Amino acid sequence: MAREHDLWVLPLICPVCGGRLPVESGSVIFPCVACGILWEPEGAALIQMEMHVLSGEGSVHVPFWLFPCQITIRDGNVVTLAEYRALTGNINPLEPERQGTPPLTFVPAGCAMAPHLMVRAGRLLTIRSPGLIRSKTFPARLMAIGSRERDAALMAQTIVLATVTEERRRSLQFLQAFTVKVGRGKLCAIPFEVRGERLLHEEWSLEI
Amino acid sequence: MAAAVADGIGCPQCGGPLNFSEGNRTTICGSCQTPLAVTGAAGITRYYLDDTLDLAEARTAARRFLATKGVDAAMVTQVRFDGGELCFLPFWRLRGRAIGWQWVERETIIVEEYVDEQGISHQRELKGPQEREHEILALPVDYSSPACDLSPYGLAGIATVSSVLPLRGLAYDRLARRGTVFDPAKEAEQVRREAMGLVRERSHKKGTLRHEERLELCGAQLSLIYYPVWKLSFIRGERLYPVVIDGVNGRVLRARFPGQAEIRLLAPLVTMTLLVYAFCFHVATGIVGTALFLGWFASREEFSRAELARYFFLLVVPGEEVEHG
Repeated sequence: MAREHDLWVLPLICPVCGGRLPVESGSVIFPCVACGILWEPEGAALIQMEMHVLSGEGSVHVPFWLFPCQITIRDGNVVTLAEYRALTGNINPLEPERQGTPPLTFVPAGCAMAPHLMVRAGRLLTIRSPGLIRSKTFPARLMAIGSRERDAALMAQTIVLATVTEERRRSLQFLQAFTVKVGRGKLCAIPFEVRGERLLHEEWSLEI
Repeated sequence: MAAAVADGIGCPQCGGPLNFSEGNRTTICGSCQTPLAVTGAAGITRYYLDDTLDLAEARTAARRFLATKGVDAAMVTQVRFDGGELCFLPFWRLRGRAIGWQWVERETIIVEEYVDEQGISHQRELKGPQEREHEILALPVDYSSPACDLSPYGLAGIATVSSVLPLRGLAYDRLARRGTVFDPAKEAEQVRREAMGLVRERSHKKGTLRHEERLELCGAQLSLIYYPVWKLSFIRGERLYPVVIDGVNGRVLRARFPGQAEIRLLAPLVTMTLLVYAFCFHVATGIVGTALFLGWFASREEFSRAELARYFFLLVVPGEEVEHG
């Protein structure tokens, strides 16, 4: 019987099909390739996780946590995507039906990323606010997931701040008033093409 | 190899021995190849490093050390170690990411050139406008700290060793049967604060007038790693001398041992001879000689009858104790 002082060890075996879950260094959420289900160890049990796979071309799916967020700045609250895009200086046209939706923060969840690359990737996707289309197929190649929802939520504020225009960020009053409140996170897998050491999403003209 | 494999946590599928690596929350059983997730109470994983020395080997390491440190060879062979205790000392290890922003206001210096009335050009430094800078910080955090006061053991950190050597999963009751397992006195929250304090300190820049920041510790993986040391002691004269041996590599971490004794015959013999000669020459010369000797003695040492007796009769002076570590 394990005591409080002890180390707890949990077999990573899919509770549905009994298959062994693939593990990689640093991973915290484990996909069962056979069942297409993700499992997260919680205490002495494996909890089933939901993941949204996005459609698109790509040889590898990179996991991201998506958080709807509400931003507080000195002038008030930013609650819609249209207001958020104004805050970031994004002048690209936005579909009318998306204007009133809450902005989404993309927090990278892959465990092979250095901290500064995580902020960069999250910033690029968050500022772009792409429209998302789901796919029904489970990715053949999924980058190992190294962030739990609570860890990713802690990064959201910095990622959103990184998307705000430089002029605003130079003001200490702006920084001190700036807070981001995130809602329930959703785990998503976004397809990317691997180009050497970089990841490329051609449809969104995005390179990480 | 002193450690028994059964002392650590085994595979829940086949009972085989498990090796863990620091900062990794998974492992694969070497016997049945089952992938395993690793966790602990409050998310803290607890490991220990296997000791590779038994008591006899630890004593040999201590004796070898004494022999190379200028202790009497005869004394080294006479040393009899009094028991020995295997101790598991706790260290905190924290890995994660510090993410947030910092804002700094710093003074700038402008170098101005001017030409004096002789036509010679000079340079002078002037205070420029204050510069305000904002930066997004995303830094890796890798912090190690003793989990209690380990200064008597001479072990400051285990960062390198614990990241290289395989770790065993802690089963407290089983490990406590092998040695004394120290409880951590430092709270996990304090370790997080210390680690973030270090990140803040490193991110500070020179010449800063004002510095503000907001940093979050993300993806923190906190581990408690117990490191084995042998605590030995030996008695010499009326004193107890401690020796602490690293249980992994046999290095002496901390020791106190007697220095080489000094045989002192010349000074008391010369003094006695001179005084006897002075008295033989004339009583007054003897009295003056004695007074001079006492005056000299009082000037160099605390004057007392005991000290005087030590000067004349303590012919073997024990060497100064040597501290190591």
